[in-house]
Amino acid sequence: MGKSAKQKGLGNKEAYQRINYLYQAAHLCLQQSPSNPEMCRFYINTMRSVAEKHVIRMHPEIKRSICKKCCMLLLPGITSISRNKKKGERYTVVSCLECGSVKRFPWGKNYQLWVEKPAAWQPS
Amino acid sequence: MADDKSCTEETLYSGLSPSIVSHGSKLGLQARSMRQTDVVKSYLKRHLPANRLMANEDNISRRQVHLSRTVKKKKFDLTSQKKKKLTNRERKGMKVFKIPKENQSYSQQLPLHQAWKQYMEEVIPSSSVSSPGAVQAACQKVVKAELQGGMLTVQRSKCPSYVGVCGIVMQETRHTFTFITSSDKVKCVPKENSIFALELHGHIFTIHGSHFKVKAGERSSKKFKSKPTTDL
Repeated sequence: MGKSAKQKGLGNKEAYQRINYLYQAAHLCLQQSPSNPEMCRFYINTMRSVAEKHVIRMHPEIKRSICKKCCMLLLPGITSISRNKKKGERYTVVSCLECGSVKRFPWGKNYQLWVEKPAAWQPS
Repeated sequence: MADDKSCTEETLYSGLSPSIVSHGSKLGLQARSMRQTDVVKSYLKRHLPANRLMANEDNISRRQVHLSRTVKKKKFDLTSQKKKKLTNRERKGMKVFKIPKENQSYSQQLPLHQAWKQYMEEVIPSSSVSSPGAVQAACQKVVKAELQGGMLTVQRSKCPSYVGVCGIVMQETRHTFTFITSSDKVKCVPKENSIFALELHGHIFTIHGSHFKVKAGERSSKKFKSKPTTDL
């Protein structure tokens, strides 16, 4: 099982490299010209479609920094606002400044992402 | 006014804690050189209605607001939350990905090209393309690699005015490449009926645009078959 998983990982290496490059390129574009975010958006959109085609799980940290609606990078204070809410279950609200869409990320005591669980890193 | 300035710079924004600074310098991290004012200005320009921007300055015109006025809370609307993604047609209508032709500069895209070079070095190390057999393998990799950020030249084309256009690729769609040339001009060249050249580690790879008509994201998972070359 472990062997096949390794081979699969190697086969997708180029896709991972491409995703890595596109994510960095999007950051660079936004840094270079904040007045036109179109290129940044296009790179993020391409990155997403590459990941979709190769059936790659993007890390939650990358996934959470992308607006689902307009494909914009969500940098707190620059392209997004993040506020903590404490009613009932605790969560953070991140709203995109470009299109106004909202993401909610819970962070309560018992909340755990799949990546943070030890089972995610063990070969099944 | 002098007091005001010191207030905003020193007291409002305190620096990072010394432990973070020392740790960052050990790792070789650099501060992001994005200027806050640029971001704010460009954001305001795009989002505010024209009559709220002052004529000469970039400031916003001021408006009096009564703080005592109570504002009704909006009810949480479920219907607006249901639809999260935009459809392709909506994206086209909103011009989400359309790059404006004005105010683009070649020098701004140069860092992107440097990043692309690093990425290509990672995908195809320059030591690996010494033998002719290895070049064949590299060709397969080039086809599946990212081209946005790379330097392309139009080698041959059915339309003579496209020939010789050279620049950094800003956008790759299914049917076109969008270049920015060294004279700060944005040019959109169709892939159909033209041949592009890509220089890498001293080798020149030719790309037949007519066989290359795939979306940028889907290209890496598509299988390319060898086809007879087309006459232009």
